[in-house]
Amino acid sequence: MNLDFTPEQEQFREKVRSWLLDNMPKEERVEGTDQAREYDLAWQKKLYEGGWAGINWPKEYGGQGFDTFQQLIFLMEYAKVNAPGDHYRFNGLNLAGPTIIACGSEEQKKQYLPPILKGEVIWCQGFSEPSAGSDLANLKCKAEIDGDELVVNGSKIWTSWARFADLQQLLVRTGAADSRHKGITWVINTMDNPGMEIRPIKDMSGGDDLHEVFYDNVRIPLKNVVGGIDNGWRVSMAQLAFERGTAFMPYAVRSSTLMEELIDVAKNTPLEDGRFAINDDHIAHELMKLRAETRALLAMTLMGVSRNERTGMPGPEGSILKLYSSEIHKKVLKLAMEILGPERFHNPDLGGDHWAWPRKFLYSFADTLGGGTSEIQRNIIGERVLGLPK
Amino acid sequence: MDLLPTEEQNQIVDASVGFLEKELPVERMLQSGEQPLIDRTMLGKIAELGWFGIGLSEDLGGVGYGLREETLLCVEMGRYLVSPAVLGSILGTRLAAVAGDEELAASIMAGEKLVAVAIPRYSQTPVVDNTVTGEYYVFEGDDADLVLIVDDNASALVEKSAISIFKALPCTDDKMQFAAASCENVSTVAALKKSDEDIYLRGVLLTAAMQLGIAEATRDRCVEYAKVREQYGKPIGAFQAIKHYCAEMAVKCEASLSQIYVAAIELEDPAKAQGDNAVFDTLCAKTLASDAAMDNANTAVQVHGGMGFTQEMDIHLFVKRAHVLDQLFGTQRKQLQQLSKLAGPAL
Ligand SMILES: Cc1cc2nc3c(=O)[nH]c(=O)nc-3n(C[C@H](O)[C@H](O)[C@H](O)COP(=O)(O)OP(=O)(O)OC[C@H]3O[C@@H](n4cnc5c(N)ncnc54)[C@H](O)[C@@H]3O)c2cc1C
Repeated sequence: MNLDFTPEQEQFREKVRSWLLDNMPKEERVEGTDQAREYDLAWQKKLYEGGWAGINWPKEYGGQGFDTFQQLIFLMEYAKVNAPGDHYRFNGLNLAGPTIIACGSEEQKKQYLPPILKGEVIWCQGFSEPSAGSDLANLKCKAEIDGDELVVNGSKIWTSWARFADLQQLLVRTGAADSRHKGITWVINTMDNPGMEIRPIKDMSGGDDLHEVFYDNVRIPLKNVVGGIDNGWRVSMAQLAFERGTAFMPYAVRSSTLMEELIDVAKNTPLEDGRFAINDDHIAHELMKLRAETRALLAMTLMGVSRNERTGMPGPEGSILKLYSSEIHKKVLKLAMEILGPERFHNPDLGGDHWAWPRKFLYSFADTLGGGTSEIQRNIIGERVLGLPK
Repeated sequence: MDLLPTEEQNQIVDASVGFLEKELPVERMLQSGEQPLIDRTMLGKIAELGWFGIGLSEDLGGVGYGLREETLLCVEMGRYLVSPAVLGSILGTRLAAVAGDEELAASIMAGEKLVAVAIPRYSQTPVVDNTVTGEYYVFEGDDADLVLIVDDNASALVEKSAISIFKALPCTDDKMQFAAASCENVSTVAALKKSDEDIYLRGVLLTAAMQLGIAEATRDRCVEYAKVREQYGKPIGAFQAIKHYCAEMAVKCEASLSQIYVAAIELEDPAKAQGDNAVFDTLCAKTLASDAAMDNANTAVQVHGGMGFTQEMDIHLFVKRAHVLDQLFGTQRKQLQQLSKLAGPAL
């Protein structure tokens, strides 16, 4: 039971920190535009050149092969200095890349892995469908083998960043209609492939990063299949083995930072009776309660990493962190709306961008939906952590 | 960095669970009769195990472990609904030892003297070095020799005989001895300023640990019951309403557990003990553990249905104890107030 980092780890922390401070982009990133794509790719390129790309990828595939603690320290410092989020780089670095490392052929590895690390491509994820959300195994997007190609017909939905992506990790139905987990194939698709139509969806926070994607006789070479026909369910789980319990470190740090910012806002936002919000008992109480809950996120992340080190693999406890983290984030931003009150509609002096808080609030609804809804997390905790019957 | 207990720490936990299961199983609380939560024989047995001095260094006459081991032990004490006077004696030993009264420390550690825990009643005068004045509620005072009185700035032990218990009160927590008492310039037998040793903060943390014990015990009881109790032809744990209750209980346990461990590590390190992170994290720990204990115990009644409402099952005992522990070393409300005065912690 200790919180000690070795002198080498502390040196590593310093190295990470100073490199990031020297090299982080200074300009604004404009979400939902081509500029954002260029920004993300340029930053990835810089990370690559600095020797920081693919912190959890093995060295033989061009990654850094950092041990768990180095990853933890890197992510912690990264979040503390508020370096750019993964954004459009997310799928390549965390999902498609690791999946190809785990299940891809040598040729696929050679072709697809380096461009991810070097900041040359953006990947998106085409898993969810109108009738396959939480119940992903119900997916219907059909692929038939025709010669040395797959012919894909159907549609996907909620594909983040599709219109900015070059490549797509796509799950298709290759087995019988009712084959569920047993008849799914994981395949690499190119986003400029003929027969595809991409339509943005406007979300409640005003963004349009989500998309519907339609496939009309889209032809994909069979050599793009990763892990074999009908083996896609297993393939899509393979990236889980890359997780060391560190995935929530950025969220933990960002939530703490956000919480402290909100306390500052409460100190500066007047209520209708002239007092500052922080001096209202109800608001102070709610703020401090959330401050304590937010603080625990950091401790829980360290606990997750510790467990992972003992067992050598990520446990289902990750669901506890996902659930806790996303629900807290929502609560913090809901409280922000209460604190800001009518000010949020007109006062541009509050925190610079007066829309920042409401926009974050509106976007926080995505947290308890994407990546497995809160209800699904509770199912997983009940069944796999606690052993309750299905 | 490794938040999990070491093998040696796990052995301490296993040994204490073995003892508690044999000597103080929760079923003891279901028997009718007037037996107290802790009697002299039990006090002796616990003293023999060294619990009262477990976290005290050897040069102060203790067993030589630290606050982390004390914390782990208190989680188990919470789980087995052990008397808060045991916590009183753990803190009392330390207070006496750090204040330089070796003899007093040794007698508490040996189980010759039991320490009750007092909480302020209203409009409190502060504890000063040599005297205590004010009105208090005392938990587990009937059989105690000393009373631990703590406020934000100081902590003190007073002879129980020197304070006037003016009213023994029935306690919601059935077997808990509870009384209203007053002190009028009562001399302290040992006292510490916060700057010497923050007994309050240690009390906050160890109470949080006991609350975690309750949160975990009720979670475990619910999970077991949900697997075996059947309705509509299946175990109730298959119903999502019940499953999700259990999941939320697990989340609260994990948050409290992680936060308590971090706080214990920080508070044990003397270089950090008075630092802001240690204080901040300890206050957060009890805030979370108070909720975890009270909410989980509350949910546990619901999950057990009508049986949960009876005195035939032990669930109600956890509800009651959870509320007592919330009162010890400052309620959640107080911790939140203190938290609001602190700057954001270092990340
Ligand atoms: C911001 C965002 C980005 C996304 N990005 C992508 C992406 O890039 N690629 C991609 O493939 N997908 C993406 N998704 C899709 C995401 O994975 C799904 O939204 C999610 O799995 C839920 O599916 P659904 O929306 O169909 O909701 P549904 O599954 O229809 O759920 C509706 C409600 O029913 C509940 N529910 C469903 N099943 C159960 C059950 N068994 N027990 C209890 N409650 C249940 C849910 O919790 C929810 O409250 C994204 C989603 C969001 C919000």
